[in-house]
Amino acid sequence: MDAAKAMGGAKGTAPGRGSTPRMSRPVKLPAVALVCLALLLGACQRSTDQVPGKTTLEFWTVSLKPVFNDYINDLMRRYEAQHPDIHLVWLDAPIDAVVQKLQASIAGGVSPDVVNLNTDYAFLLAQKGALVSMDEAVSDNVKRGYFPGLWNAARYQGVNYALPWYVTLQVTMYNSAIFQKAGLDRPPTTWDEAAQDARIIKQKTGEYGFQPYIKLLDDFQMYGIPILSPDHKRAVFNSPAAVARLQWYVDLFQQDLVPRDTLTRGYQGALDRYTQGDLGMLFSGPQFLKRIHDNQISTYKVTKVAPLPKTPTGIVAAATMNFVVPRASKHREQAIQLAEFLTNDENQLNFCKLVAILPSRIEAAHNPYFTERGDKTIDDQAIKLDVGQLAAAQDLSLGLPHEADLSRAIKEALEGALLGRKTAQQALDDAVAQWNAILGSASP
Amino acid sequence: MKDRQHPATPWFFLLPALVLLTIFTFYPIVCGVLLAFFDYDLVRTSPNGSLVPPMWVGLQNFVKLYHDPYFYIALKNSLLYLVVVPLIQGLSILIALLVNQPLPGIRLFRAAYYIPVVTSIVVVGFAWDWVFRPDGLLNVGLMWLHVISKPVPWLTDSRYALWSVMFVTLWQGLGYYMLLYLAGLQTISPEFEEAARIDGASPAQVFWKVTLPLLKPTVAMCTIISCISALRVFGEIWVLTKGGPENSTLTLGWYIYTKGFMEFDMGYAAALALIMAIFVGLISIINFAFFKEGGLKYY
Repeated sequence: MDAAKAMGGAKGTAPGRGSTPRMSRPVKLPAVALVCLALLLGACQRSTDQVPGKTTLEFWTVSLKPVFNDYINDLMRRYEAQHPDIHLVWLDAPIDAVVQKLQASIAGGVSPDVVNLNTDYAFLLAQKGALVSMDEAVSDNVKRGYFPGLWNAARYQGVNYALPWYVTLQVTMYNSAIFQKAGLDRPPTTWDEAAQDARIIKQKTGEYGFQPYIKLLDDFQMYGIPILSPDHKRAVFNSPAAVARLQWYVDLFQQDLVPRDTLTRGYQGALDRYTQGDLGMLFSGPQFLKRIHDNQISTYKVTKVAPLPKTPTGIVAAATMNFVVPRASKHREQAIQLAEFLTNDENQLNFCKLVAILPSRIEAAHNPYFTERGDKTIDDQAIKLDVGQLAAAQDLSLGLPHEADLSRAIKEALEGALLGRKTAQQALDDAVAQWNAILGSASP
Repeated sequence: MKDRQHPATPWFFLLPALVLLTIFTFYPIVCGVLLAFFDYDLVRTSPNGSLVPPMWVGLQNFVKLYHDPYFYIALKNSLLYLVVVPLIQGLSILIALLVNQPLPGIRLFRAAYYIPVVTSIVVVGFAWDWVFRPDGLLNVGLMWLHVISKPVPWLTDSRYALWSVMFVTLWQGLGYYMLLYLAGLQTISPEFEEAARIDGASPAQVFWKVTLPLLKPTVAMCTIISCISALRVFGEIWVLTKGGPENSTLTLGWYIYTKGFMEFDMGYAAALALIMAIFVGLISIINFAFFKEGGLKYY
């Protein structure tokens, strides 16, 4: 008996006794042949419809459809009007899909021309020599228009491989109801104060104060702790200052001042908890205020915003989205022009008006839309705070060879220390030893 | 005159399937095996802008694998994952026996057990992530029942994470194997069991001496499928732990994915996949040998 029959006990239909009308033999063969041909042609056809006499440029974005269809379609319409010889094709997908599809496309000789990537993936491709150098391709005039800390986001071994697009910077969002219940009258201004507030919130309300998304290497940079020796050949992040920084997290974790799932759920865990009203503070980009508003209006109503707690260097970590041009693009010059157009002041400003993100271009950030923005809503206040931080913003991705192996070593150090298997010093000593082995093997 | 069939006729019927299998199965398998002996990065580009072709490196990927501590961690975890096989098979047989009874509304139960099978792994991941959270359903329930005094870090402690993920595999796969066993049970003629009962066999004896031996071909098939799935497990790891914490859920399937699709090291990923395929083959051979006797041959 077959499984379907076992499931429902339905009576099966005997082979050849279906109700489909029979085709006569002379019709059947050509019909089957036609269907096969159509399927074959459909499979072979590329999604990029070519337009005769025009150069087709394919550009890919990350997770913009369908919310920003109008914005992107308007960009395409204007660009094609300004460049009658260009036909644009837009593809949008989640970041993991973009990266996998990009690999396959480059390997298959059908590379897209302009691709939206975050800085980590831009580095990964830059290390493979797969991206066009923007230092060489872009004029000095255009370069000067970007915030320097962001222009250098994807600088790998001295060469920049990406045009920065939009940026998000974190602010402190705090649940004023939880703060009030805990007897706190203001948000923290330093990270030590944040830890102290977390302790008070836990004691007085039973809720967690915050849930960190721990990026140790970013932390080290924001605290001015050297990661590598000046010649970039040795790891040195097992210094007393680095150990103290890791110990700060270990204490929070072992004293149950941050949730146990901090290690696995990180930022998503923080966002979920804050939205549900179970977390005192959320350190996040203003774009997530909308999600909180849409998912839990009661939390949104008691949310207030404040600047992010300060670090000794004053550096603000930026999450940058970039446009890169694969070297496998068949139309590199036109692709660079398109990337410049997509990231120019006007287009970035228009994009920022649709969603709470920040431009990587200086002139766009100085537009009255930002500088004369009111502070009636917390969204306005958050954007205003963020714009004020832009000049200090830096994408802290390191861009080292064998990044995946190095990241794994850091992750293991963090997990080992937080779970109490190693002391902070041991964990960092082990990670440094692993880094030195990896960096040593990567040296020529 | 007798209408004789042309010797090539069966091949014409097989041709469409053979063509598709060659393109989508045999060719990739051959390429995958060959790739294990190459250094190949899909996007590595030379200074002149052309893609760097795969470079023959002989056994270098396997030497690297031999010295790679993460490979052994992944292999150990994948082999440990096989623990789920006897559990899932035993429970599936039990449930199949239960839902094989002619009880009112039994189809509803059969459907209920099958729902996890047709549920997307992403949805399953989100649901179980919520269940396993420190403040999730499981911890809250166990604390309410005074079984535990403080939340258990099911997914965030390396002692529990793999077992928790295995439980999700067990939960999701149960319905699938139950259905196969149900189909297997319904192929067993009731006369065998009736004869045993007339001879005075107890229900347990009927099951162990009659039903189970006759079900052995289905058990063999399900065990092999289950072993292969356990060794290749990926979805549950992807949505629940991403190999952590402390590599406690790093399995071969996940490690191959990270090497191939996150670090673009296709040659090394292919070497890992080849080793995994060898293990899958070995375990299948052991299964075939173990389940050689069964069905009506048993008598």
